Amino acid sequence: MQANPQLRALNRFGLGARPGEAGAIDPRSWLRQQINPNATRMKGLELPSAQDLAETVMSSRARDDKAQARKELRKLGRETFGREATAAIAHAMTTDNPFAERLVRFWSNHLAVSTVGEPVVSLTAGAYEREAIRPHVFGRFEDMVQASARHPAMLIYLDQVRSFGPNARAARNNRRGLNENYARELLELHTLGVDGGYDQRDVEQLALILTGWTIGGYIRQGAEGAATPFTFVDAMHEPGSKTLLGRRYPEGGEMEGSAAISALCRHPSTARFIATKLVRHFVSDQPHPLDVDIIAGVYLDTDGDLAEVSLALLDLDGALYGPERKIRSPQDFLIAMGRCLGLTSIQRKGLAGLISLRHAPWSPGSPAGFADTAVEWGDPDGLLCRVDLARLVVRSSRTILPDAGGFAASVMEVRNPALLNAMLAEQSSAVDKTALIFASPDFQWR
Amino acid sequence: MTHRFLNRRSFLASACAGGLATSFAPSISFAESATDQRFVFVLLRGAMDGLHAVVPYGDPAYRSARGQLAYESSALTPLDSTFALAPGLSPLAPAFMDGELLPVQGLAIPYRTRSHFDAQSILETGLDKPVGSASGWLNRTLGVIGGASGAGIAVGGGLPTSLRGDVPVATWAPKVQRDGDEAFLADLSHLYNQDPQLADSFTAALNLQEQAMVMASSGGKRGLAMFDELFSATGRFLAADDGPRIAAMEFSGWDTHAGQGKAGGALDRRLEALANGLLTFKATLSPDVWSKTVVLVSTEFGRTVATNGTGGTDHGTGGTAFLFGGAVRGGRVIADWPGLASNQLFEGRDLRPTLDTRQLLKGVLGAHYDLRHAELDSVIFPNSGSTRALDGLLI
Repeated sequence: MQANPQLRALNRFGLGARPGEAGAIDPRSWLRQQINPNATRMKGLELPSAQDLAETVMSSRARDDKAQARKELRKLGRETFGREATAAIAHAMTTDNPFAERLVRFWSNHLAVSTVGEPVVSLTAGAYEREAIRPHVFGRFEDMVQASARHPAMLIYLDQVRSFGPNARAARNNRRGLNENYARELLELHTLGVDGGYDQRDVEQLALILTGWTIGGYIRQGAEGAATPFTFVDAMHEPGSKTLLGRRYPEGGEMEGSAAISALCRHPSTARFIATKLVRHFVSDQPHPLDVDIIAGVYLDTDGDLAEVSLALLDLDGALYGPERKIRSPQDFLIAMGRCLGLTSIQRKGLAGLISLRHAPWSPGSPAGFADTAVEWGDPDGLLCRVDLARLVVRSSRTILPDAGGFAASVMEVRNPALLNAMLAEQSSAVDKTALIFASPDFQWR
Repeated sequence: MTHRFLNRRSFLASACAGGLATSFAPSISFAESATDQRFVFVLLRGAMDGLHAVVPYGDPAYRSARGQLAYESSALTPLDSTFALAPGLSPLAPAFMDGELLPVQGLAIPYRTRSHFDAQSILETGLDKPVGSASGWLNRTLGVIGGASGAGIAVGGGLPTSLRGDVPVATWAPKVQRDGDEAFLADLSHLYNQDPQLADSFTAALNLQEQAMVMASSGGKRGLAMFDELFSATGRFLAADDGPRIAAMEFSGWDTHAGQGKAGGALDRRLEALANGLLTFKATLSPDVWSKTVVLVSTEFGRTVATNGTGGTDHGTGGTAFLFGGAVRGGRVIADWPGLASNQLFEGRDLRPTLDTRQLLKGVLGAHYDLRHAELDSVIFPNSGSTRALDGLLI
């Protein structure tokens, strides 16, 4: 099938073509103009910041009626999550910078937090994406990781918040000590990758380096009491020098962790790991080694400048042309339907549909984030859930299509137009015609 | 054309009404399963702390090595002089007495890693190193026993790696009733049949649709209630005469880095939900089907022997599995116990592995499906000829 570069740009790199859009764009310049820090902003929202949430969590923890406080925090977490998720999907449905938004979603998933079983993460996941991810999508990767490492969502999710150096002042005389969860995932999932050349000793040394990184007021002990999204508590920090990947880090408090993250982000393994994930996300479930080399090279040459890296993706051979297809994730499937129909929000049931599809926002089953391939998202039950979601969305929108076949061709690459038109002719209602287009296999790909 | 579901539901009639000559995908049916034996693989993602489940209370170093997470003896149900069931698993004690529960200790995949994702990849592919794109040993087992498409099903969490591969399988998750417009699905199936990557998957979905619609679902329970709901669904799928024969299930939430707790704590409550889910599963099967059933509960690795600095445990090595079922020769614990004293630990921190997970898997599958060595050693678990299957696991 001949690739249509306009639809490729809108679907593969964007969040779904709107009817009429494909004829009106030059694919490459449409994508390039979105590589702009302003394009990643989310406007007009009154959603809580990490600072708001730090205060909420600390005042909850300070209460004497622990059980009631926890119950209320869980309830607030559910409510906040609902507002944040709805706002994020609505923003993705309406943004004029869908390529920038795809990158926001990619990086948010790369440095994933998960609300599963974590009421405090439910409170902060939306703020995390706004505060730690969005500002850096076209900035330096290191700045994004530094921001992620200092955000309460990540500090809580991977247990960094209460990791004490075994010889730290605050660890003596009680049972507090080291937790290596965040350090391991920082190496394995955020920077070097599992084969990136570190061992168990490096995990432990990095965990020691990072001791003291916590939420202000989380560990109650006198002066550090103020509620802030991040603080460094020296009394929790393991004293002395540490060695990570053969480099010695003399005692330096918070700066040890900053320097370690900086070194990890400049590591060639990190470049390859990130390049592989980007190529897998935008080009092919089986990333071609040459594509990975190109992107990793740009990353290293530009000191992790993500604007340059994003630009380089567009020039890969398989980006706008070529036979490879990528499957839409369930969220992107829902968002694409919304963009086709001009919707500005989703109903509660739409969010429920994403839960059935195992793709509720910020809710991966593990810190590895959501997977990204057809074998993951094309399972039988998932396809039927997509059919249900298509019918739900179309029914609620009451859209009438005068020319269903023409509409289909304007928003997706149609493999067999004659067959699709024959099946559209079978549908007795406008709702079923539109739903058939969205539920069809061609709409699942981009 | 023997497409049972489509025939039964008059899909052909509705498709022909459209005047189209396109044919359906190859026939698929549950009923042609080559086996009557049932097998369920339950993967506990996140690394269940095996020392907190099958507790080595009789090891002289248990209390000192474990630290603050050591259970009080009075909370435990002893199985022998070394091991005891955690309080949450005590609902399974009668099954142990009846010989239907077989815990295995000191198990590890054949590759040393403390990465969840590499370890799960190895456990699910059955290989000896992580290969992201590889098929799963459950799917290859379906291929070897001649299981028709639809003989395998994944319940609750998409399609796990263990069931990925050449044999098409179904997936199912609880949800509210589908609207089930058959003519609409029939029209869609024409389109999906033209899609080389999604055709099998859509056909498998339609096949299951019939059973899934019959199965009343409360629409996706959350938290610990998931265990009962999913085990009940799996039991009803496997109980059906023309239902699937091999199922994969998974539960996450075992990565207890903090606040793991003791009796009645976070992990213990999860173990209790697992135990009760297993009993629910048994209750959905007839005695005849139960006698042909094996459930394997496994996890990617064990956790550190010592409590960490946050009342939890970090990623370790030697771990734990259970066999449960009417076909299991249980009532004992399998362990070549290495001990918990500091000089007995792996890298000074983890339970030393004494059994390769593939020894257990090969022993179960070989006996359950009467497989030949060549099939186990080179097809289902490639290059595993030197890894000997455990004998005598099943009746």
